Amino acid sequence: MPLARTAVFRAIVYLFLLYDIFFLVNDVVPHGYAPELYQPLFIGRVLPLPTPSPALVHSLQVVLVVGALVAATGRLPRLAGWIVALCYLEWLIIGMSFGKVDHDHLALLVALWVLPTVGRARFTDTTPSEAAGWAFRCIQVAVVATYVGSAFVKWVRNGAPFAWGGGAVFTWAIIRRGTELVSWVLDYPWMLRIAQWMLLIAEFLSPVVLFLHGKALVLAVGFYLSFHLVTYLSLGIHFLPTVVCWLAFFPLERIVPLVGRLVASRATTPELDATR
Amino acid sequence: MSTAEAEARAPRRLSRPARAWRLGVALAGVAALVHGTLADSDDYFPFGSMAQYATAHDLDGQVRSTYVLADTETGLQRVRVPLNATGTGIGRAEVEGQLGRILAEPSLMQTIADAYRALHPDRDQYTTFYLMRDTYQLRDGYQAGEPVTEQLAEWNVR
Repeated sequence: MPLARTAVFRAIVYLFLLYDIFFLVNDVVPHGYAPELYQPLFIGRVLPLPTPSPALVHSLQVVLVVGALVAATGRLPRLAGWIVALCYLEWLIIGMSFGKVDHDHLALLVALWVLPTVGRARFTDTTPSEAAGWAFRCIQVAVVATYVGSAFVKWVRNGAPFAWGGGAVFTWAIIRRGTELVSWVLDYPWMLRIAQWMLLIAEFLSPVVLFLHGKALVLAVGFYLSFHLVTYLSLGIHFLPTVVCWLAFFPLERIVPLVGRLVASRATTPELDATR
Repeated sequence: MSTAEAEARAPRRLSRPARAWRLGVALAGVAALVHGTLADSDDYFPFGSMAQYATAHDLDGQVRSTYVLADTETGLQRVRVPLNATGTGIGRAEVEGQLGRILAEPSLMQTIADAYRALHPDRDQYTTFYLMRDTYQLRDGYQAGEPVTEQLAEWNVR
């Protein structure tokens, strides 16, 4: 696993984090104004985490923004990385401790906790690194765990491996929060049941992705991404934090020469990026 | 292309202790996830169960949707309260997740008014909250008839 892949992935993930805290898990600052409804999750009860307050949530936000910007450049990969990982965990604990827990953040959180362990990684450094290999495998496993875990909990909760497929869960979801694009499908519940079966099977099969290469990998990832596109258009559920982490399956370092050329063709001093 | 010929060196290997703790952390993470899944509890976040939409709903069951309406200071009646991150900071799923608590103690709805006032001091403020629920009946997976609307609780904002 070339170190350059870590550099590129870091830039993407830490910049995405800014988007996440302002547009996705953006209820944390408002939560600071509603402490009475704070029902801390297990981690929040075991660790002496403070009850959310406006001061706490605003400081967290500032530290996360500064830390993520520094870490995205690849500077202070350990210090900035660990600070961001810690603060973001607290951010999510506050976000999820008000009665609803989302499960689209597992891979992103794992990424933030393993990326600092790689240490320094420059955009042009193609040295293979086992530390980077471990970090990326962890992120890949976390991505897959998001799907296979949700298949298994459907089994645990409903008593049989495939009991979920024949129910009315999509109808339930569409009645509650379906967009106009899909409300017509409520008249065809059999279609929704087929879709439920397809999803459930795909979730159980997701660990296979860990062993795919080339075209098969692209096709498989394309399938899961199109699933997220459909749920976004029909229910407004996007799973972007998981979607971003799917990038950990691909040779991201290949965009470095492309970006380098783009920069070189624009700047008067060629090879600006490569000479660093 | 100077980036392609960039420093390709011998692979950087991990020492034995470095390998050992990485293996240990990975195994612990997987074990925590398995535990959270078998316990079917999202309390163990981030290692909780991936429980969103995991409940199979009965084809002849009911679909319930909870929401909050409010009267406002300028005299608007029963407007929909934005239960989301940017509106009140409290989401609809969060109200549903704590429904039992709120029904036992409707004064918790005061928090929603306080948060809204703190977040949007310039907007039309709420005077009374009505916690509402629509119930849709399903028959063989089809929606049967119109939803039944009921009022679960009321709270006069202080």
